[in-house]
Amino acid sequence: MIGRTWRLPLGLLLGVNSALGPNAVFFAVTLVSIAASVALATSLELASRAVQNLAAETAQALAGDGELEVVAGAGGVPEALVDELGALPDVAQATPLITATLGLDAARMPLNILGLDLLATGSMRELGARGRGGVEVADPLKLLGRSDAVLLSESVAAKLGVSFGGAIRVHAPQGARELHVEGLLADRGLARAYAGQVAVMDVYALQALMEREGFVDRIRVTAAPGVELRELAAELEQHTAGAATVQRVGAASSALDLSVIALRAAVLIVAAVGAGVAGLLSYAAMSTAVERRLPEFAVLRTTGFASRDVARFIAGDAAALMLCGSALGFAAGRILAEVFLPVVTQASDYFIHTSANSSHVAFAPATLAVGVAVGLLCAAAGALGPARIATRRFAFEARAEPAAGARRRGGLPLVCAVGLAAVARVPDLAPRARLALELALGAGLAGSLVGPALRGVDRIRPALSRALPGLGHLLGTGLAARPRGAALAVAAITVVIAFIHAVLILSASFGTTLLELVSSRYPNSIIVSATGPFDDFSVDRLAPDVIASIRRAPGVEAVDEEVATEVPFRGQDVLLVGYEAAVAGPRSGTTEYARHLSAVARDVARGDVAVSAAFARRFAIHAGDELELATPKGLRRFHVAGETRGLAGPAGVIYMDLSTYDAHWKRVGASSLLLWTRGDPVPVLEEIRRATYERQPLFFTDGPTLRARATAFANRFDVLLFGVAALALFLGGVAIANLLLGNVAARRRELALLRAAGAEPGQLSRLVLADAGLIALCAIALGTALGQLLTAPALQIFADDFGLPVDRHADLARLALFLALVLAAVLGSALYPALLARRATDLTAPQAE
Amino acid sequence: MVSANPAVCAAELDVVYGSGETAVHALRGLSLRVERGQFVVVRGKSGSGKTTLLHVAAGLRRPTAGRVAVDGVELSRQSERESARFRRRHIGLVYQFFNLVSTLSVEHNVALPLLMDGRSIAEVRPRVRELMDRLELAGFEARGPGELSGGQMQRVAIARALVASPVLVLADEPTGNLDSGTGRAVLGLFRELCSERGTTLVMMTHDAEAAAWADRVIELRDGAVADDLTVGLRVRA
Repeated sequence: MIGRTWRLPLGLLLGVNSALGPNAVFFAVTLVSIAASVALATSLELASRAVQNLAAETAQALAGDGELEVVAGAGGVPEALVDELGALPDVAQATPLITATLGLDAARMPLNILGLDLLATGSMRELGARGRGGVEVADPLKLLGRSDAVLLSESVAAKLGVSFGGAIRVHAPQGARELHVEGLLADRGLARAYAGQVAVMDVYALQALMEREGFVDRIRVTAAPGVELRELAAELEQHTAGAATVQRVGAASSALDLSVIALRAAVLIVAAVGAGVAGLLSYAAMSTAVERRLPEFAVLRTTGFASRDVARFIAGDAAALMLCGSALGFAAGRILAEVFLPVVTQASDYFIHTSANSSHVAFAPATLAVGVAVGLLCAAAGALGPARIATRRFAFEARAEPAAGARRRGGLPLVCAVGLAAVARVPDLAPRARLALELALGAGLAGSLVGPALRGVDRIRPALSRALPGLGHLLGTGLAARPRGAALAVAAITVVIAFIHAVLILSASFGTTLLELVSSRYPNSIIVSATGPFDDFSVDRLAPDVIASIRRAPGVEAVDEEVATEVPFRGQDVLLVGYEAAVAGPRSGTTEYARHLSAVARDVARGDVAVSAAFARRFAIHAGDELELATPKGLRRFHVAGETRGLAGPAGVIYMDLSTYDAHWKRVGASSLLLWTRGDPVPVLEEIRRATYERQPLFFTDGPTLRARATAFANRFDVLLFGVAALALFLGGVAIANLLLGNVAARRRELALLRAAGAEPGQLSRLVLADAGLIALCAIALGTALGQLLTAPALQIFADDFGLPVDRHADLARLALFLALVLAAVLGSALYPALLARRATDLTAPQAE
Repeated sequence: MVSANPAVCAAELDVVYGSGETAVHALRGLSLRVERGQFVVVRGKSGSGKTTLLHVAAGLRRPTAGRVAVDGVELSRQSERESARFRRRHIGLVYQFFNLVSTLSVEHNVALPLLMDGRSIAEVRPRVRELMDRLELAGFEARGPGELSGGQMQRVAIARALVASPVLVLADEPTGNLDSGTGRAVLGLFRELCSERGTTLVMMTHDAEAAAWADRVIELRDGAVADDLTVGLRVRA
């Protein structure tokens, strides 16, 4: 036996020699696959965590020293409550806060303005504002001196190129207004809210600017020393009498938490698919390298190494690859995370106007755990199987022909098929569990069907021989020589195809449903808004005098004023939309959905509400039920007339008539208008533009433009999906290339024999390509079927997470293009192995020296 | 008897592996002529150039210099594709380690060169069955190579080498992996093929007994012919 002292260095030396020498390609493939899967998992984890960090930071910044918050949605809390609550003996301090998002004139970006009571204890310290010459603005009176004074975050000031004493122009409800910069906010405290895209004003100045006199968004309450928060919360609730909700600081982000949880679950699924494919890839690459090293291991065993030592060498190689691959993956993941950030932020459906930035991207223990787990999975997949090969096979005995044909496992396909059918029929299974089970069972079915498929090929070999002269008689023999590798490759590619197939259907379904939604609601109307629809920038409201001018314009047949705001409902922020049901209802389109909308509108006009399907599902409130909303006038109950569609996040939407809205909430202007004209709309719009130009620039969006915008919006969603799909396809392609490389390496003797028997180099290349094609065809058939199955839970998850139930639509042209791409990727990945196959000539050395 | 169109004609063959100081001369100016129907045994120590000569004669490797022709066709001037086509139609190869395709049946293994040539199994089956009968392999058509003994596998390899009725059969240590009895049977079979069918057989071997079955024994040393002996007496099993 070799002494223990020398085993490790010798093993390392042999591993390094192998990695840099004859097996460099296989080691590189393993390294790349580990790095890619770790990068995918960590980047998505980092991006979703960044959104969470931004939310926590924003919540913390808005909370300040407060421990409890009194909120009532965008409708607001009566201002009088501030003093009432502040006077309670258990309350140390109660301070009001208003948040408003206004468009900036100078740049196409929104600005979050926070209104604070600057006279409250600690406010100025909290702000850390600097005035002229960088001197801290400690005296609030300097800000209170003028109603248009604003403190601007340093990052926004730098972006706009303004400094102390300068001015910014914002779109207020009354029209454009100029605000004077009286100080800059250091990058801490409140300035960290909304990723620094923030400004601060005196709360009462902001009230006036937003025409919200008498209301604030939230009251931040600090408990007196020794007071239990739970007791204080109960006391505050009693005091607000249903007009507001009392919550712990940070609870406002619960809606975001739900979104992020959903997002992170999606991230985990994507990362699991990537890790699965990378694991298969590592297995294929390492087993190929081990096959090639069998003579070397045989020599080691003849010189005194135990088979266990050989297994340890392989484990050592895998560990080294895991470490290097994970390190590379973490580095790449950090870079990729910033690429994913904007899309993931928007997918969270919380920060509409703000995106997390690189300062929010931070490695957490969980990130490292996810990355290391993925790396370990790949390394274990790459080490266990090959180590088994290395310890069980002794190359010097491997000269006799092995028995042909894989062991038959007739039961496994049946078990997987029955399992799939059962999962598809269980009605109450959670969609994520359904998706995971179907993926696992589908992969199992695909892998286990390879053996029977190859035996089927054997049965039709005479026909193949006639159909493909000179090639058909050998079709599939390469795969049959390594049935386990072939099964793994088919399973991996099947999963990739199924996943992308489901993504394509999801994307087509979302796009089509969105188009149907915008086309069918009010087909002949024109949307009038202060900014474009589907625009992140759409924060400005239409001013009341502008609306009055539009109503008066000649040629205007009808106007539906709409207002959208958020209200708290069972601890979550829900979108509340007020519209003129009596105007819009009869003008709905002619589709079945539009007729339903019209029928619901009649009840809404009478004071009922309608809810979106997402709202109905989330809160289990359906037509005929009642729901209770906190309004500035106290708790009010509303009868639900029906369910409609709406895209407003997982919490959904509540629709009510504008008169109902106005009876309970205060509003200034409208979020948008729907406009119907008599005859040609062009001169009417020209007239409106002329009449309102001086006061507020308007955007008019007709049906075709709205559809184009909706398509563009849906396309943005596609980017993330297709990015992930492309990565999965790349991994799948590498998996196939690796399998075929392994096949060529393992079959060198056989390929050389075929050359000796008269096979032309081109025939051998075509044989490898045909094997690749066979894998692709098997995987395409199985993957497409599995993809169809996965679509149902995927659509369900989408509806739950994004709040828009979508109808299943398939874009057949895209699907065909994708399948052609798969075929091309598979054949492309087979080119190098095919090239290697041409070079096989030497039959005298059955194994590589 | 010297014919105008010998089975193998090699002239001034040089094969060099590598270059510079590490260059290895596997064949050095080797010239050889093998007449049709001859059973030639090529002997020599390891590294004497036997296998290189086999590969050059089969068109699997181009010589660095010199020419080689089989049945009057100069292989050294052919493209890879042309030499592959020529090989499957006119040359059969037998190896020490059988080299059968493990995933194909015995019948398909035997038919391989013809199938490579674009012919269907149905078309070539009579010829395959005839050879299998002749080599006592009848009944093994559907079996896999893993189900055969060493002697049976080597007979399958020989059947494959003969299936296209080649002008030349090249064998590299065909008895090296067989027990003595089976090895003798294989040598007897080769002898019969040469005598009855006029097949030319060139066999590379270390086996001293093999020389007793041959018409001619060539001794290679350092890549060149060291001795060339025509044997008058044939030994029968």
